[in-house]
Amino acid sequence: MNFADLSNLALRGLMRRPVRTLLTILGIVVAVASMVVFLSLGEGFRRALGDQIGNIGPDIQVQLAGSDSSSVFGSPIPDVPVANVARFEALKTELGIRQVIPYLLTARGNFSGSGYVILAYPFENTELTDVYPNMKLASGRWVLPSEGNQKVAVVGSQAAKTAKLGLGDELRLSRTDRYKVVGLLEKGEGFTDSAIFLPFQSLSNTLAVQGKATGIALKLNDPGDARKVANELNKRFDGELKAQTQGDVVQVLDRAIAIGDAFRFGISLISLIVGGLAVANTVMMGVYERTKEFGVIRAIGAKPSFVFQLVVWESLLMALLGGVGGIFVGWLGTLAVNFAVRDLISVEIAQITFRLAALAIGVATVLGLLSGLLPARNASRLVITEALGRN
Amino acid sequence: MIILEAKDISKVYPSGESSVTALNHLSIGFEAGKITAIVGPSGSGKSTLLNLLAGFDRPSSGSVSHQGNDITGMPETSLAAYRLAHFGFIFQNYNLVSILSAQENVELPLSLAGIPKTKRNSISSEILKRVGLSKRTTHYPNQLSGGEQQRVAIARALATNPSVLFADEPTGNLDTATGTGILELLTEPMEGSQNRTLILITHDMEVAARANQIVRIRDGKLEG
Repeated sequence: MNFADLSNLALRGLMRRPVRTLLTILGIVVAVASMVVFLSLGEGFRRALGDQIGNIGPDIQVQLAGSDSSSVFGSPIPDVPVANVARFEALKTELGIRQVIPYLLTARGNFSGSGYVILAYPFENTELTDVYPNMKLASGRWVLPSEGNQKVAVVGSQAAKTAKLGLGDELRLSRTDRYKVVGLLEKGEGFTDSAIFLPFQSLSNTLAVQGKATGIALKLNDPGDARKVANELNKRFDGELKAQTQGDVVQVLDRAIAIGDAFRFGISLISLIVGGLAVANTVMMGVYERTKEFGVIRAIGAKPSFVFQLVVWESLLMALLGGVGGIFVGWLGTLAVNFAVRDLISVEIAQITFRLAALAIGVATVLGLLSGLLPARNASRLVITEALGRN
Repeated sequence: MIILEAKDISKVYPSGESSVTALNHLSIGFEAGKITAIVGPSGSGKSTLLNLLAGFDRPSSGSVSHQGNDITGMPETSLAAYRLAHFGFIFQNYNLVSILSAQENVELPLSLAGIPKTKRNSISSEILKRVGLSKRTTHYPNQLSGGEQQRVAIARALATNPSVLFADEPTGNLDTATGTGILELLTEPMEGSQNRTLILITHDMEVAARANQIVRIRDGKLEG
């Protein structure tokens, strides 16, 4: 029997009990959709990472050796002595370092919709476009080199929304420290959209962390040398400071996302197993109900392998239909997730990539195969005389 | 010419700690061009004999051969292919596949044999016409009367042009008039046929009377 005839027979078998088949497929749809939505979060982060990390930030970041490696932007409490800047300045010519930029980073608010990141650079010798080349002003002006000690701020578009700041407004960081918004940024890349930029010295005073930085950013004459330079720095400052390239940062973030993926997949595995059991139950019941029919088909000359294939294909068809439906419903779910968090971050947090869709179909296929194997084995091993009700 | 032959076959079923002998050293041959009726009371071993002759089951001892080929020791897969190529079956309960139309039921063995769709269509249409169902081809078993279902079953059995036709109580569920029509359909392909045999299992002597030879079984042995 050719594949088209086998498929036709399998479909007819499933349509014998349309409601039961539909409910089983719905079970798979829900299981696959939940997996797709869960894993789409990782895919969204991963894509944002690929799109943005490469364009933002320095070529190399330096933190204290032994600081939390999962925190790519450094320790939450500034702990890198700014005095180290001079040591890197001294290596500029030898290692091809163009700029040495200490920075402070702190976060305000939470994920309730009012969160933003505060980044501080020494504007005396640094322009924001040095660090973030794609950044553009929407209104106002940049922080001037003479304002290193002033309480002024340039605000990202999303941060302006969440902190309810306009040009000329004041950002209050403590009872006495208010920063005047002198510039608003155009909507751009997700990370900088949610950031507020302040002069290094001013924030240092506000946070009372004088002489300390969250990290030191290095821009190189040739960004292609980043790995080589980072290795050299790690050799020279072994045990004291740790230099990371953008690639290292991406790797650390990717590893964090992968751990998240594994965790989310573990959760969705529960619903997948339940869906698989539903398919197995449906197929098993179908086999039980059609014992006599399989006996007839075997009697007139079907090989045991044909019955096996027929039952497995029925199971696979249900799982594949559920898989495709699950991707569609999962896609709707990602739209809902992105809509819900659009005010928090300007990154599309949930995304369905080809890789994720392929994984969903792959999981559905494996699910269908595993669910169909036992019923198929039973069906193919039917004793014809017993199936026909003889003896 | 003997087309199908059972030699000294026995079938013993375990029953708790003892056993039941359904067939006891039975030998029988079926000639081409002949209709053989196997008759006997319930529990005599008629159906067991059919199961063994058709390759549905294997004898505890002895052998069954078709056209000189011993089918007793064939692996299950080869035996299925052999049944498909050489045997046709008509059951008392029709045993049509409920999700397939009349024409699709007739085409099922052809489809299993890998015959292309157009050829299948032409063969099934021609046979359904022969059994008087050319206007019921798209009907499903539950839309057909018992007599019509048995006609579809006969058409399905004849579709692959088998050399052995097994009919197990083919009129058992039909009224007399319909049963007579079915018997005519069954025996009609045997007229003038020199390479086919029809084996009828029945307890109805009127049905058996249409056969060229009548074989009586009692307690798993041939009588007389």
